[in-house]
Amino acid sequence: MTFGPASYELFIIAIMGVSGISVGLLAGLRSALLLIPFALAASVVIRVTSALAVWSLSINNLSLEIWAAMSGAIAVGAATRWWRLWRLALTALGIWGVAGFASIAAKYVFGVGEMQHIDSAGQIATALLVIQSDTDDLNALATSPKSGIAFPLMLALGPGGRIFSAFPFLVFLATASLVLWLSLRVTRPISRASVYWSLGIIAIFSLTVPMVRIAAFYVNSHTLMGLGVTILTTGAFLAVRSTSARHEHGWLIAVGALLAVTTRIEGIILVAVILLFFASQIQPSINSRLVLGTGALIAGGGVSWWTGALDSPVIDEFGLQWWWLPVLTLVGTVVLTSPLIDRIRRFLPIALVALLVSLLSAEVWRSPSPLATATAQVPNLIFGEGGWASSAIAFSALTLLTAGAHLSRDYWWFLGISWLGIATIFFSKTFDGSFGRGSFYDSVNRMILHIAPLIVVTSVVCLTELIERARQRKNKAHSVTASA
Amino acid sequence: MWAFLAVIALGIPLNIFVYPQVYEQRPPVFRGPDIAANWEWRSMATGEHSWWLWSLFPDAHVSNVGYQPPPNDPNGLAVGILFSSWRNEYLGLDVDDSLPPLDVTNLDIRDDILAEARLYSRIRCRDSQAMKKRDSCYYLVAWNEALMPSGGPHFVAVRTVRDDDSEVALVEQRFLESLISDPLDSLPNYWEVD
Repeated sequence: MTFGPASYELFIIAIMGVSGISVGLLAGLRSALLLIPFALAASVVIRVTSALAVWSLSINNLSLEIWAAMSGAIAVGAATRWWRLWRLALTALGIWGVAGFASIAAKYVFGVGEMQHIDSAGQIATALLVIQSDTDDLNALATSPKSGIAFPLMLALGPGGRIFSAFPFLVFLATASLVLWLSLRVTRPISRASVYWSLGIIAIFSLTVPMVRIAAFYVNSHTLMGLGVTILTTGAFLAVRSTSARHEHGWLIAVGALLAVTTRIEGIILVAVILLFFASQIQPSINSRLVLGTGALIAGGGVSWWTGALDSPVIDEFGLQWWWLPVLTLVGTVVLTSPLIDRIRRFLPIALVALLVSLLSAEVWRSPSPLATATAQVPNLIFGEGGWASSAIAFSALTLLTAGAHLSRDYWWFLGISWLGIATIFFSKTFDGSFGRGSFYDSVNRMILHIAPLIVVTSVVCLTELIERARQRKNKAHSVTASA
Repeated sequence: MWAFLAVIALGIPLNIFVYPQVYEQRPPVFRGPDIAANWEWRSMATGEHSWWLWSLFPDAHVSNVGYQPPPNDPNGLAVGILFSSWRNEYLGLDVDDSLPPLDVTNLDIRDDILAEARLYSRIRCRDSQAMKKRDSCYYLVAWNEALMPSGGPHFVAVRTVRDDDSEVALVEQRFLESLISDPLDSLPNYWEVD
């Protein structure tokens, strides 16, 4: 074990944990298990916003110092405001510490490697040569917007000349924590035994899927994007299921959206679709409109700031002017939150599905070989070339087997957003002109990771409800027999 | 419930024993040069080869690492090796990619070069117009410690094997000159051989 770099990485994890959990406490989150993924996302958001600030002010050499100062200020603010919650803070920090040690041990003690990929090499190069070097020349970062800025910014927090190697596994553990919390939250009224059985079964199945094991250590932005999307969806779900959205829901939506849109450029499309889905179900209250509006403004504002601070050519590539994105964000936010569209809100998902299906069908129809285009992902999702083994078949089977079943509306909510997410991923790829190819390295294949945590939650919710129903039927039959 | 559980129960052994596992455990990388030095990253190391060289010789000069169509066929396929990358500008490595690698396959010097090989990996390459799809070639860097100049060394790319699995070496100029009797500019490059 190399003690110097490992202890440095542990120090960075400690700063992330303290600042991220502080943001969580300020945001009003009161569950240690939920604070872990939120802390990770919030600490990345602190890093991204501090970097965007130094790049905008052309003081690139102060990137690390400003990040550390921002993190410290937030921690002090939270300690002053919420010192009474020290038990919760210490519990969350304890869990965070265990996850941090596990991440460090995986790389430095057990020597777990990563999937070899040219994109990973690119992320490492960007992190070390462009960001960690504090250079004024950000051209390499500006001209590769697809890779995003959040992930290389975090990798660059490693000790001099080395990446922050524990980060990918830390993201994976945080995502697992969120999947666990969300599954328990959605299935709250059901007996714990049924929930734990389903969690165990789905966890064992998931760990046998090669892509899941690869994602745990993969040096690329997909797992982080998956975490951002899941946090955003968690906020939207909690807001929809409350009588009126609360400020902690707004924090989850804002942090998840900002993380997702700065992790990958196509994140803005997925975030927009999830926000539209959320907009279709908001309560007609000021709070709900504020939460939705904040999410939309932060998502659009985040991409605008990113492309502006780096002078990125990504907007030009679509033949648009720089002001298009901020104006579109403002107009979109006003329209989405306006009471004028309250009457047609419930039709938004149908319109969204119709739009996506039309666009995807048009893409297939226009392609030189429609059959080949339509089946482009079959090798990855059915025959396992992409690393997904039988998981896509299992999820499709779950969807078909539960069609028409009397399951909770929460299950249908998560099933709907999972399939909407998958369709959006295919739509995002159409900007590259196809639906990909059969290979792990294909981007559609890897982008499924953005929705994978939600698919796991959907599966756990489904199985829990099925087990509970079977258990209730058995109890009923038993009581009838006993009374007879 | 039972149907779904059956799918899961069948899926677990299929996932483990039937479906391709895609990834095998490899040693981790922590730095840019690790990628080029790590055989398992193979052709994924494109762009990182210069990083490895720079980590050892920050003031090195590298030549004959071009990847362009021949001058007599400007619309033809690019041939050579993909050594250049945006990394070089940030590293400050002096790279001349105006000409493709030289060809030493007709000289009996490969064993001497291999004896001093410091890195064995893969690099993206195309040998000739006949090779329609860009591929990867074996790649190594070689120098003789006793012949190293006091200032920045000059590395020249040469092809040492030409077949389905071609091999390209980045050889330090003085070492290369000690192996051949003629001056370097007498050696043909890819364009002239193809």
